[in-house]
Amino acid sequence: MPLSTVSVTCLYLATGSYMWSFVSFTLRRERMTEICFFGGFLFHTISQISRGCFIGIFTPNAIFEGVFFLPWCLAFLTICLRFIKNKTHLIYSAVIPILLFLLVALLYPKGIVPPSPQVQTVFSPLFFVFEVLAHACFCLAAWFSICYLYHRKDAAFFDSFVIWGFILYSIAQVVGAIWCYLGWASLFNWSERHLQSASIWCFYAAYIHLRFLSSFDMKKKAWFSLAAFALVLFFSYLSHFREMNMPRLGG
Amino acid sequence: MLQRIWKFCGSVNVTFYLLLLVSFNLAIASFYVKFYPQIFRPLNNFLLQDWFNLYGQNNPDKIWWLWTMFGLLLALGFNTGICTLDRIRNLLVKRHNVDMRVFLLKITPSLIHMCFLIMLSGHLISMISGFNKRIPVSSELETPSPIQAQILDQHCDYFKSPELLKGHLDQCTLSFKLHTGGEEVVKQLSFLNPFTYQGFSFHLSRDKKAREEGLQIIIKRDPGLKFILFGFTFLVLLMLWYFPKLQKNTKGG
Repeated sequence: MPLSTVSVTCLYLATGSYMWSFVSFTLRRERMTEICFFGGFLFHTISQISRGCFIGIFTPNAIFEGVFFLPWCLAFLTICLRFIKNKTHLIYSAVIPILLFLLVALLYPKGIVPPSPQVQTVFSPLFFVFEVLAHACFCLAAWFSICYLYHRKDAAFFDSFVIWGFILYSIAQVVGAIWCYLGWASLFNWSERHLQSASIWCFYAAYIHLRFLSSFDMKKKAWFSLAAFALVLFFSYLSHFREMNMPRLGG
Repeated sequence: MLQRIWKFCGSVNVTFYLLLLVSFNLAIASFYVKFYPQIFRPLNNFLLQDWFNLYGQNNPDKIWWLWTMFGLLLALGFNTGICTLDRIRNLLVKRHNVDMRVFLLKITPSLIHMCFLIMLSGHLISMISGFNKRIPVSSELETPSPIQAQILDQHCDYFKSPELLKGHLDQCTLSFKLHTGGEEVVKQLSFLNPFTYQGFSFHLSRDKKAREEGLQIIIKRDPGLKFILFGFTFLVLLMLWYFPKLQKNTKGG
C-alpha cells in the first residue's frame, strides 16, 4: 500500500476513533472515552509520520503543516493534561475542538507543497513545531475558558495554557527569525504574516500582564483568552485556506 | 505631581492598554501591507528614511499607521523602562531582607523587560542604519564600496528523484571572487548559507515572480541584528525559567 494511502486512511480512522470517543464522552463512559481517544491519537500519529515520507523523501514540513498537525498537538496536550490532572470528564471535553479541526483537515487537500530551497533547514520545521504547539495551547486555553465561563470553576487552569502557549510562541518567533535571516537576510519582514504574528504576540503579552491588574478577575481573563484565540484563528489558521490552491504533490 | 506622572507613566495599567493598541495597530498594518504591496514591499529593501523619500512621502494616507506604531512603541518603551527602573530600585532597597532565590525570582520580570527594550532598540537600529541592497545575479555586481565582486560560476541543481519531485529546484550555488584593495578571496553562496565579508553579509534569495530561478543577492549590514537576537533569546530563556518557577511557588502556597 502506498504511504499516501496509509496516511489518508489513518487520518480517517483517527477521526472515527475520536468520534467514538466523543459519543462515549456524551454517554459519560469514561473508560471507553479514554480508550477511543488513545486509539485516535495512535492512528493520527501514524498518519502524520507517513505524511512526512509519502512523496518519496522525508519532508518534515509536511508532518508539521498546520491544518494536520494542529489537531495532533491538541490531542497530545490533552493526553499530557490527563497525566497531570484527574478531571477526566472536563479534560476529554477537548475531543470537541479536536474533532472540529480534524474535520477541516479531512476536507483539506492532502498533497504536499513541494519543498523549496529556502525551507531546507532545520529551523523551518522547528518553527512550525513551536508555532503549531503554541496555537494548540491557545486553542485549549480558549476551550477551557468556555468551560470556565460555563460554570466549571475547576477549568481555571486555562491560564497555564495561555502562559505556555505564549512561551512556545515566543520560541517560534526566535527560531522563525533565524530562519528568516538565513533565507531572506532579515530577522523581520514587512509582510502580512510577520505583522500578524507580532500582533498576536502583543495581544498575548497584554494577557500576561493581566495578573497584575486587580480589576481583571478570572472571568474577564477567560473572555480575553477567547478573544485572543479568535485573533489566532483569523490571522494564522485562516491563512491555511489561502494555501489550498498551491500546487501540491501526491495525496 | 511629578511623582504621580512618573508613577502613571510606569504603571502596568498603561502597559496593558499600550500592548493592546500596538496589537491592533499591527493588525491594521498587516492589511495595508497586504493591499498595497507596491508601497510596502520595498520597505524590506531600503532603510526607513530612504524608503520614506522614495515611497512613503507620496502616500501619506496609506502610511499613517507607521507613525502611530512608532508613537505607540516609543510610549511602550518609555513605560517599560520606567516600570523596570522603579521595580529594580525597590527590589534593591529590600535586597538584604529577602532570600537570594526569592530576589532572583522577583527581579526576573524586570530582566525580561530589559531584554524586550534591547530587542525593540535592535529593530529601530536595523530600520534606520546599516546597508541593505538586493541585486539580481549578473556578471557585473553592484557591491558596496570598496568591495568589488565578480561571479565565477553559477549552477542550480534540480531534484532527479523521487519521481514526484523531478524537475523541482533543489539548490543553487554561486562562486564569487571578492576583492577589496589588495585582498582577494573566493566565496561560495547558496540558499540558506550566507557568508560574511568585511562586515557585510551576503545572502542568496530569489524573486518568486521571475520565470526561471530569479536569483538575487542580498547584501546587508545590520547593526541591530545582534541586539534583536540577544534580546529575544534571553527574553525567552528567562520566561522559561520564570513562569514554571512562579507556578510551582503558587501551587506550593
